[in-house]
Amino acid sequence: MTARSGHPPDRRVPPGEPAVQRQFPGRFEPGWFSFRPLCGSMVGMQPDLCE
Amino acid sequence: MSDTELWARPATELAELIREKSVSPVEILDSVLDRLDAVEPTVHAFITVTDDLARAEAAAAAERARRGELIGPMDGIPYSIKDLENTAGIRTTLGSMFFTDNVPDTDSVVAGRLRSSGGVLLGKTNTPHFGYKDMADNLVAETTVNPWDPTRTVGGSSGGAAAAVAAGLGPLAQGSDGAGSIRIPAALCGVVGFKPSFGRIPVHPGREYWSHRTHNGPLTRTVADAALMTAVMAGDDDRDALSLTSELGEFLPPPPSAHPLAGRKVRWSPDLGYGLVSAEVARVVAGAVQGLAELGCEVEEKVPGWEDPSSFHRVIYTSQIAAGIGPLADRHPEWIEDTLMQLISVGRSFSAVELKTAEIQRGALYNAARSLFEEIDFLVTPAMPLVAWPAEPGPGLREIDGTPLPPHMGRSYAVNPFNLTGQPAITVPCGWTEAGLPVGVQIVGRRNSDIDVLEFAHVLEQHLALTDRWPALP
Repeated sequence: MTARSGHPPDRRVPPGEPAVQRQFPGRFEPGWFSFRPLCGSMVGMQPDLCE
Repeated sequence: MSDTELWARPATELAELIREKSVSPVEILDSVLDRLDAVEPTVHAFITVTDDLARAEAAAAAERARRGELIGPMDGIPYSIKDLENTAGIRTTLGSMFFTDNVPDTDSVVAGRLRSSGGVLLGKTNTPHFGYKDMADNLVAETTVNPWDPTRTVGGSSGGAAAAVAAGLGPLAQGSDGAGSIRIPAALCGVVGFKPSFGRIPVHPGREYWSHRTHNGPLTRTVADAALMTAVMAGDDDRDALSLTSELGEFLPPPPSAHPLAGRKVRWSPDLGYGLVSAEVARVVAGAVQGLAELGCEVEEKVPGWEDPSSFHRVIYTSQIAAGIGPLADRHPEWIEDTLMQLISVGRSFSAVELKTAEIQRGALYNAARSLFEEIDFLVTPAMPLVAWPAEPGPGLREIDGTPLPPHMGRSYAVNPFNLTGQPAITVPCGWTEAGLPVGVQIVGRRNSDIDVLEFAHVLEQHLALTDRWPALP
């Protein structure tokens, strides 16, 4: 678990790799909207507008 | 229009069709790309269309669907990303002549999350230069125009996103909102725009992690789709120091009943006590407020009670622009729009003490809003005090029903206070004027009550039953 969030560190997997394989139920049943991808490692710096 | 046309379906319906193998993501993409071919030459929602990538992503999603290995409910659903957001390998112009050929190596946090959701990226949507204003013209691309009337602006800064959704070019669009930039174009285009609580969706890369007002969020045709896309994008990330660690929660709207919003306390204010509002816009939004009463809400028309924040907001907004863009403007003033140059000049006129004073005033506004929401559940206002104005590049119309706006007051005075307070706020289409231009109602909730705001808005949306109306594009 990360210190700040309590989320498992494997949230940060490269984009494009399957993150969660959920057999989600119907549109307004529990679980349908709780999906969250495990991603975000491919993040760089915005072009520095002041450079 | 046939009700079977896939480009017109919300993401929640498409996801179920994909899951039950009734429809392939490739079929959905084909439908959306056909629609894009038909209407994009009029609307100009996109700066870059990534159709080759989309076809590859749709094919991969189709294979996952065939194997029963869908990643989640966005798998195979077409979506777009605002061109302020870094996308690895995809041109990211920021609406700026300084970045016309910029191709980032990496995704922003939100772009990465959307990419790994299995969604099908259609492209990058238009924005004014660095997202600085409430229209969607720049020196890089064709001006995005309103699908409901192509002579009028789409709003901004997430103008391309709103136009794409309103025109049927993907049911989901990512936007960002530093002073109303999701809710403004959503209201002017007749779509849903949701600015979640500050920090709910991380902002990175960024520059002002400790003092900014930027919120990422969705623009969609239905509230349920907004909830879906929010769920995909939400969640803290240490690279955004102020991102929220609390869970978003589940979107589970109440089932239909006679009074599903019974007992919810609503404060209704057409002008916040200090703004101008078009009489026709106020009348249309008042109709939605009547709907809330019919759904069981306890509605009170009364001003929220805080002082107009426009003056100190202007200090914060323009000094940020001056610090961030001013050095570029010095280097290539010919690449800076006149209206943006004026904001840089205004920002440079303020002292550090004036900026700090404005930040203290921002704190006082937060205190006032927090106190108000101890008494109420939701504040309801028009999202915009006027309908879409002519699209000609420049400052745009600065009068309402013939009365000039005060010099210090922007057209977005009803939406930008909640960038300063960080509260969740959504705009939902609530009607059209006699001229056929859409009007949006804004619903503001307590900080961190994102799901409550979405569920409340969903009930109103179902009551109003306006989601089947489309602009008369080709």
